[in-house]
Amino acid sequence: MKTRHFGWRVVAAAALLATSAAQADEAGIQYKVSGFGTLAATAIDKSDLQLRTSLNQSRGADSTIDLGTDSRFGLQGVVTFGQGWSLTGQLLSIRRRVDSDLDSNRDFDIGVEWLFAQYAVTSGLDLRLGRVVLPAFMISDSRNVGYSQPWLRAPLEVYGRMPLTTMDGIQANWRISAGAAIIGFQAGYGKGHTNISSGATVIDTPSDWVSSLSAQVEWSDWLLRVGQVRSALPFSSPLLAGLGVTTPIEYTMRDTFTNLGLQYDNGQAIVLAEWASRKQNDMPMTQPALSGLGLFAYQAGLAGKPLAKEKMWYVGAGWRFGKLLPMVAHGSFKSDAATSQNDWTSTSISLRYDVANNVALKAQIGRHEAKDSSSFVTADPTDPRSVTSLAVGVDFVF
Amino acid sequence: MRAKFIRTACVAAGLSLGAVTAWAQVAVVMGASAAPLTKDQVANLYLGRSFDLKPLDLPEASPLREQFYKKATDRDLSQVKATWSRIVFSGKGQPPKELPDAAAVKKAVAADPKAVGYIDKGSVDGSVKVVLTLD
Repeated sequence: MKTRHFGWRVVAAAALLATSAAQADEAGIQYKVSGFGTLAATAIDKSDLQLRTSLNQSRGADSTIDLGTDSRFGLQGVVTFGQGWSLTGQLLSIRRRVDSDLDSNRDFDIGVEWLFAQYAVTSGLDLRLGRVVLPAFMISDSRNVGYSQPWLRAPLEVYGRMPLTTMDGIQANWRISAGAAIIGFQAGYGKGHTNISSGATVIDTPSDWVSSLSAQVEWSDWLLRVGQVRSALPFSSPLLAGLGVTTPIEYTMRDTFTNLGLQYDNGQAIVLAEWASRKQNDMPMTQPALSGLGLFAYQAGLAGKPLAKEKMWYVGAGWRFGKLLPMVAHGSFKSDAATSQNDWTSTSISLRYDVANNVALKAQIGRHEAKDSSSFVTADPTDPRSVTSLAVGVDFVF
Repeated sequence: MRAKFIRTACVAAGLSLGAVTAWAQVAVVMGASAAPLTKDQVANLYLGRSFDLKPLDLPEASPLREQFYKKATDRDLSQVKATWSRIVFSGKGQPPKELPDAAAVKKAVAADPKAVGYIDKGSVDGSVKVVLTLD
């Protein structure tokens, strides 16, 4: 994380003679480049299905060693213009599907994760415009930065269920001190876009709009956070064509994702827990004589019911022994949508070893019990499975 | 023989230096008009929870840095780095500015009423005010 000064920083500073000498030091244009990465090998004990880490992947780890499941690299640049203005960009290289073709997964595909201009109105209030993180979870904004995480892979029961990670729009962050506590608020509004792979289908889901609200309190070693992300997804014809419905229909799914997070870290003991729920409006109530989405909903038994209704949580706890951090985590995902009753739980044990001040080695073994196919890529999505996963990797930041 | 003696002497000197620094008191310092800070306030600043003041750091190689973080935040440097990487890569802020030594820290806090630094208690002089002492 090196700071480089442009030669004309002096010129810029000179243009701001009205500011005090101390402020002028900040007023020049500076840029910082920093990076992060995780290189991890992952395998599971089954060869006829694959464990994936995101709903937008249609390839995961099977019984051969896979480097794409848990690996990713990021590069971030921040340009500070002074007077509270800055520009932040982050490139993320990760496995993702690059088009609607189911087999178009590419490892280490580079995408623009964030690109936003920020204006600090005061030292506690920031406004952002551009592509920003969609803070659905407690650790959304640093989930990809393995080095900042205690484990190798955050529990998929919660973190694997939200395919939207960024939005294009505006966002405000406000922080105030209240005695020993720090209170933060975040609000954002914009558009989001992602692809979801489900079985042999790719669902392209551009949103009409996405909004996010969250509040958090940090007090000494505690952090408590509550947040909500709402989105409106129009069920367009191309989306439904993948599900076999070709007649144009009009239906907008309203998705509400609520998250509650608690973190305790006193330097020795660490506890992380999150709970989340997803609610959606009901599908249209209709008769079988109708066509389009109405027919589809009726056939699937969805008429008058939401497409998804989910509850998920995890609890993780660890204890530091010097540079070693063993951690145990348990997660659960339950869906009682009209189409199926899906359950998914996992228990994992991870070990982090800090080899240097910017490098950590990690290993994680997990036992996944699933009735739900959506976290696996599998030929038979109805088949309940028990899978053991193993991953080893190295995290770094610079 | 001579080489071995030098090596032993160096190790002994290193050990005694380590012993001395292990017991050093760390003084958190600000400009002359500053009010005292609590340990929680200092921890909040140096762990990126609060951005009310401008924290200053010593180089990673400085033994005082490790002691300061242990005493003020109960965290070792790897944990502090992990905490800051969360903040940096969420675009929320940048880690404390690093200065080369105590003299530079004193000069910086004397010049800016919002700047906070930490130095060895023995390096404190009239140019700065001790806002918190960490034993």
